[in-house]
Amino acid sequence: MSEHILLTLAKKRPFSASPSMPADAYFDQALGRWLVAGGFYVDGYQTGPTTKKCDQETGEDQKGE
Amino acid sequence: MNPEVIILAGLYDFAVDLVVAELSAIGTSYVRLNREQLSDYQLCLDPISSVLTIRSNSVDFVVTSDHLKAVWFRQPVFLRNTPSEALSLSEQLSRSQWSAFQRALTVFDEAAWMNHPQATYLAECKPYQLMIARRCGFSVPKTLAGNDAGQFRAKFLDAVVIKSLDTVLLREGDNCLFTYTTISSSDALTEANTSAAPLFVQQLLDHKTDLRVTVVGDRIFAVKILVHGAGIEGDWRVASRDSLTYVDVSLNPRTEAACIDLARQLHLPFAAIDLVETPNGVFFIEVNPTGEWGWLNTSERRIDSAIANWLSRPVTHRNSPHA
Repeated sequence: MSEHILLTLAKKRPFSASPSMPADAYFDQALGRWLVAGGFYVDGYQTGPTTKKCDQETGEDQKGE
Repeated sequence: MNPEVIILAGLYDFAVDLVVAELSAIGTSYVRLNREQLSDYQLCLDPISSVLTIRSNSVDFVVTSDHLKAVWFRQPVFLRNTPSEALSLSEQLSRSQWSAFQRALTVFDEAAWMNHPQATYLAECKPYQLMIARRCGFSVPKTLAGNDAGQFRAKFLDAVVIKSLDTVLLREGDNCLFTYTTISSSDALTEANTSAAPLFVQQLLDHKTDLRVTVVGDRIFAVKILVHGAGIEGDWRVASRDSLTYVDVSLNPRTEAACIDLARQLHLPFAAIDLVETPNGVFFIEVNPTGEWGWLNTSERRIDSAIANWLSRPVTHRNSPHA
């Protein structure tokens, strides 16, 4: 039997359990935010075109569990 | 402290940081729990009295129905179990039981939920979405779901859109596989390459431009997604980042009303709706109950602020998801 067409059409990429981040980034439980040495890791607004989830497409709806 | 908002999120769900900043700015107290870190806390829920205590070295919260205004539930509603390698007993136990614990917070049924897991579960079903969207007045592409290649070829004589019925995110060793929407000839669909698993086959909508409509309560943020300034055939997510632009658009009143009605009928205060504009009108493609929006947030398009304000609504607005 041939491979299912959804598998044939799937894009393959190296698996990464977590996104690439600055070495000093850490999550502050009390604030509920990521911090880096200079302040907040995510601050203000996105500028310029970006894609979903830091270019790691895992589907929406938190499916990449 | 008695928080007014509980956020159930993921550790790397960076868009949540934006909403947390907004909640701080408007003086709404909150607690954020990431599913990857739940075992770092001492959590105890009294389901009869609806009281949750959350303790760690850095936090000490008591969540009560009296103070809680809203729960922001950004979690998968069912496990897909595609880890590629066997999980240890401890990992299996942790995944299933923490997931159940988060669902147990539905005991806070007087709080407003964005979105309630029960609503998200049903709204995740793409065929159900299409049926409801049609009822709301949307045009929808002709669609078949299943593994019957003969019927696919009989209904669609030329090019078709092939999609998975649910997100395909698979692991194979050190790699992962993800499927995008693909255009193909219906002749490519055979018994041999479809019978093992169902899929979605849809009418191809030519000369389309993608629209993303983010609904937050009664607020709508609509953008047109362009690649090098024009619409794109196929899945825009395969285009390079530098080629993409997101342009604010005003929807026609009928489409806007249909978006609000869809979110309302699916009981989703938050909904990320994908539409396409074609020479034959606007078509509904799908709705993402826990969709991503951080990639669209700008100083003029404050989705973060809209979510924070919805979560902070006065108690009198409880149980009125679209107020």
